[in-house]
Amino acid sequence: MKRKLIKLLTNPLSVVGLALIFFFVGVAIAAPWIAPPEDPDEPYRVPRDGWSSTPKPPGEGHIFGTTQGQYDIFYGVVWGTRTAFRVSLMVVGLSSIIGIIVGTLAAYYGGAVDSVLMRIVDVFYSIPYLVAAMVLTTILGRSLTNALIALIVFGWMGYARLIRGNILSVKEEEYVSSANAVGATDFRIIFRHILPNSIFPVVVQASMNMGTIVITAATLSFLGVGAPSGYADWGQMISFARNWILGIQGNTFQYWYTVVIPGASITLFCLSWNLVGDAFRDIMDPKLQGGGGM
Amino acid sequence: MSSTSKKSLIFGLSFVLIFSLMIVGFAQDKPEVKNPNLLNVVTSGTANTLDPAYTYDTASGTIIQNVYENLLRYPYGTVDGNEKKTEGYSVSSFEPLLAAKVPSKDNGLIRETAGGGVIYEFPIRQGVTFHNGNKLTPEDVEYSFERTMIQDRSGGPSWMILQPLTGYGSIKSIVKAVAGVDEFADATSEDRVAAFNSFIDPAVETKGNSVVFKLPKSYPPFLNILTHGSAWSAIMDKEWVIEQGGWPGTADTWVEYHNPGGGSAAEDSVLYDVMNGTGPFKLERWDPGTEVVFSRNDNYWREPAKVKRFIIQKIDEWGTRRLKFINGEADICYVPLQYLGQVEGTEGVKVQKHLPTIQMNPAAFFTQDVIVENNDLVGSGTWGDGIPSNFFNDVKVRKAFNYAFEYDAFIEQVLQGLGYKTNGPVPKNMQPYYNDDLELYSHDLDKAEQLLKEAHGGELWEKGFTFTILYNTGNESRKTASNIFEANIEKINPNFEIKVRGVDWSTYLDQMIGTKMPLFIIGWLADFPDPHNFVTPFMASDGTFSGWQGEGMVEMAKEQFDPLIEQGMATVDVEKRKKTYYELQKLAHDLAIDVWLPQAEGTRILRSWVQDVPFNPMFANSWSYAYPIWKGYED
Amino acid sequence: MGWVRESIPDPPFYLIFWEGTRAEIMLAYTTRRVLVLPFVLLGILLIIFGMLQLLSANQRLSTFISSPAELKNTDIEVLKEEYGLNDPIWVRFGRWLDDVVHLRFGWSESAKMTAKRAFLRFFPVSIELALWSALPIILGGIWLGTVAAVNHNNVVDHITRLFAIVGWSLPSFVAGLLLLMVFYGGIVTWFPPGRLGLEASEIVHSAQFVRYTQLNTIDALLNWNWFVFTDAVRHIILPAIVMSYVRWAMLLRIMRSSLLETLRKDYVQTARAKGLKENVVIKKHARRNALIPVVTVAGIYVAFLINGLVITETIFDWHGLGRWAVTAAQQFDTSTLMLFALFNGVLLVLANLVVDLIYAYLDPRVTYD
Repeated sequence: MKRKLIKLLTNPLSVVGLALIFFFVGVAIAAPWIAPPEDPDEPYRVPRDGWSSTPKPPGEGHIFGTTQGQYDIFYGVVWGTRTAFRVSLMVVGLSSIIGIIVGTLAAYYGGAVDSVLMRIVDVFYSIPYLVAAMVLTTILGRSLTNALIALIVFGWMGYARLIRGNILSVKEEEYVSSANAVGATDFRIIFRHILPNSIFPVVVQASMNMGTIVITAATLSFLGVGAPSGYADWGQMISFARNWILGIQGNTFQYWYTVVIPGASITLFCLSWNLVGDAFRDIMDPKLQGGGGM
Repeated sequence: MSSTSKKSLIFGLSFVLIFSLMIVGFAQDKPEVKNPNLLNVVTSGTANTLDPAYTYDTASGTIIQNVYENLLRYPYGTVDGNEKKTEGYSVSSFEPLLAAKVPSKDNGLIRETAGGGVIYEFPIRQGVTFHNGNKLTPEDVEYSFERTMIQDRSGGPSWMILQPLTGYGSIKSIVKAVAGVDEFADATSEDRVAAFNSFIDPAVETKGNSVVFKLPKSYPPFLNILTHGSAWSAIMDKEWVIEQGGWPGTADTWVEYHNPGGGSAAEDSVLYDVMNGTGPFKLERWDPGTEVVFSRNDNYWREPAKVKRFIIQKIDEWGTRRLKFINGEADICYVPLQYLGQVEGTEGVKVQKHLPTIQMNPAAFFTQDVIVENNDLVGSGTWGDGIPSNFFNDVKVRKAFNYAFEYDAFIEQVLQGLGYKTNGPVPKNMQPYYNDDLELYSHDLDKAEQLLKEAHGGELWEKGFTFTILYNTGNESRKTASNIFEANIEKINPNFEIKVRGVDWSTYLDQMIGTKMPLFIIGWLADFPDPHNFVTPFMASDGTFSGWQGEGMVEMAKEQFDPLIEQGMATVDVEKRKKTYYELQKLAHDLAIDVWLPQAEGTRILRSWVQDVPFNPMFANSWSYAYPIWKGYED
Repeated sequence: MGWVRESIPDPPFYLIFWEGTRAEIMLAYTTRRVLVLPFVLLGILLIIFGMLQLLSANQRLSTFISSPAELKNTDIEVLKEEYGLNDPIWVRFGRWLDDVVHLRFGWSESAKMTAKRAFLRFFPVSIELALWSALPIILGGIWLGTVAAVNHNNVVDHITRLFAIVGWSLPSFVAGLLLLMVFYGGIVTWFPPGRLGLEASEIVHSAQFVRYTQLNTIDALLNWNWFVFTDAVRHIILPAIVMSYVRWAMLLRIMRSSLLETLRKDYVQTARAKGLKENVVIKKHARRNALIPVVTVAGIYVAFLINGLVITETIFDWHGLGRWAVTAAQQFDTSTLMLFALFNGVLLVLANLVVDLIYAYLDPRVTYD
């Protein structure tokens, strides 16, 4: 265990990833101090300095400038970090739990149970999740919570499949059949023997999804569903930039800050989780030990 | 590096090299001035159908305006240079188009009958042919109007013809009246034939070389409804429509052609995607949702159009649309006002501003006696963390909101200075019916505060309130308007809270029908340029908006507005009507029934080589009639 | 590796006792999977239909009424009766099922034409985009993955992986708009948005041009029209890049780890020990087994096609299924959404089946008894 931890810390890519994550955590925690909200009851409402559409470049009063509608970019990005963590933790957390439960039950019991559950997985997979998320969000109303619900409802299937596959192989292992022979209950077998040995790829996948979910949420904002207009959310910030990305004639990069700053936040956030997840996988997967080693 | 990876690397590099060569081969410089014989417009907005009797949206109207023609037309002006405007357009005087003369009392073509009705006679122009070669005859005119009346699709425009010609708003009501039943389904086929024979047939008849319309009573805007720009009164070729499988024109068959597709499947109309008109352009191809291509009608009865082909392309994404325009591939571009700064001042682009518009879009509406049950927009339904049902019943509250809006800031920052303040509901450019001397509400938070302190006997000020404003998404300015109310009202007293939420049209419709929105923002575009078309939806007791502004509003309308609205339509005398509409405007102002938000002026964004784009506020779009347009440079 | 394992089908119990030939068993397996298809489809439809029933009748009315002007002179209650919006759920669902069986998909309000016609019109557009994107995805992913695996742990490996991961982290709408800005924005105008330029479009719609497939690139070749072909390719390059770069990362990662795993297997070591050249070892033995995850990913790509198309088509103004899906979802166009669910369902189940079969073919270890 300790050896693995050391490997994690010396791998250059994973160090970068971890450092970025810590940076984001820091920003999220410090939000109320570095970007004090106008109205303490509604900290996620990005302040608007005027009504004009045209973004203003970084300058007085606005460290990162303002985006369409005069929303302050700095504020949006800082509090958006909190939103990003909320979204990723909730969605990944809940959908992975659901997926693990379904997948474990299917794999362990096999037969008809497995067939039915896997067909249900197929059914959910078959619905294009962006379209479904859009429909659901529009029906339930445009709020962050509803977007989260939509992403969870249509995002647990991957975990189910993954863990089912792993369990299927673990199931055949000796220690399971011996536990069975000794008369251990199903529950005990699942929890003490099967899960710990098959859950690891799920953890790796989940950690990488932390980043991708933020991108999916941003896509929903871009499409006009998701967090309500004016909410501190990176995807929102970028969708405001949508009509200004191309600049004006003669200066394509006139409004670069509306895209680059929130875009960089999303990219770095996703990148950091990917790096860490990748490093995890490389280090911990026993099949990749030996040879050159990491 | 192992030999395998070396090979892979070489493979990869050569691929990249070949690829780059291909790219260089494709490279072009920035495109030059375009094909002078092709006019390309890029916009957003989809056409529903090409059937003039079915259509009720701007995009279809634009297409129909170029291919079909009407009995009359408005004189249009052209706009020269960047800001200089050429007068010459009108929405109250007419020129003959397919009619040979404009009917008037003076030339005897408008006559009153003994029973209080009015007759309009239109001699039809000779020598006009449709695109398929058939001659235009008075029978075609009669058929076109009768067809529109019997088609009467749900949610469609036929009411505009039915109302003046029969006194009923829908053909189903005529049948029900004739049969004496409550449900259309209960009427017998004899009843239906009878309804046709007594109401539809006699309303439009041919008389030698003319067409005669018989109105049961005076309808002042009647000529406006027949004018070019109104798709529903376009003239079609009877033989051709019948060839396409359309209504044969007889009394016993009309029911089969009534309401095709139930109003929801435009394709069920036989004229859904085919066109045959008398206009300067022919339909070459229609790709719904993508583009429509026209080619010049060289047999046009006037001088042919200047450009040979004309394309309207739909590109929703603003950035992409703009690029096409800047690169010269498009000649006219639809630019939402807030992005005007991105194209203005660019070389080769001219912007024509301050064009008059006739609309009330948007306005903010108050609901009196808002429904409180099952309504998340009103909070608790009582003071403090909600609003009571009668919140907006007190005129002081309504006035306060009127004083709370930032009119000048809105014009400056949202409309880029291209807007104007107005009273309502009669639009400012609808002269002479708009009262320029009526005072406007201004941004005055002190007055607002005073009024709110007095409102509801002081209870409002003491306990405070909370509610949600809804706007229909798709429009930045409506959202900003909501935010302006929010910011200003909350400034007055910390106990006041307003939330703002954008919803899609379906939710919006639902809330509106349910009378659940305390304050909502939406707009209205003119069907025809007559004040009646505005006072009805905004002030009649069964108006499109006023009918859903709560009990209090409906009562108010029945008592005070309905009689005046009727009065306005009872005479054609302009002076008398003016007085009536002035009264209505004053009532609207004093009772503060709505907030009349600043209106945007029209703008046109063109490449500088586009000339003679005609202008009339009643055209479907500010650029929509392509007949006189040509590309090149004036010396 | 989880990705690989998840596709192993669990042998149905009754096949355990059957000693037919492998081909017969595969056939039975296929049949079983295909028979399940209707139930899966029914499940999908029920879910979407169920979601849409959360809307009130008034909200569903909005499909037919698109502006305040259309409300005038119309009795709302009468309208709702006419459209059958007040009927109970099972009546409406039953009516819809009946329509589907007769291939009547109803009117698509978002496309302003019948859903069937809209589908036939938009489908080829998306297929063209998907095909042109598939090539770079698979080739790029395989190539990059191989390079990374073979250079395991040195600089090349890290760089390739970083490159792919950065791509994975970049939201596609940002990348799309940035690419447009660079390649069409003003410095150069090489790669325009849309499918065809004005001139090429005129040619394509003229009588001389014969439409075989509705795919511009292929039709252009079949018509021997080089001009249209190059024009179509110029328009497809950027969207294809945007569609593919995200999946490179996925494919690269899988390819790399799979290849690494295989390279260390016994039989590879043996082949090496025997003195076979490195690239022969890779090509013959390792690659074939490493292709298995590629097939899995290809299956996933197909299944998530619509999601990928949504953004790309919106930005580059391609009028295909993705763009249609967005409008339909925003407008609650019930008939269209149901059609999409149906389409995606069939697509996914078939893709799964094909993937499983290919997998069984590639991996001799997989048997069905």
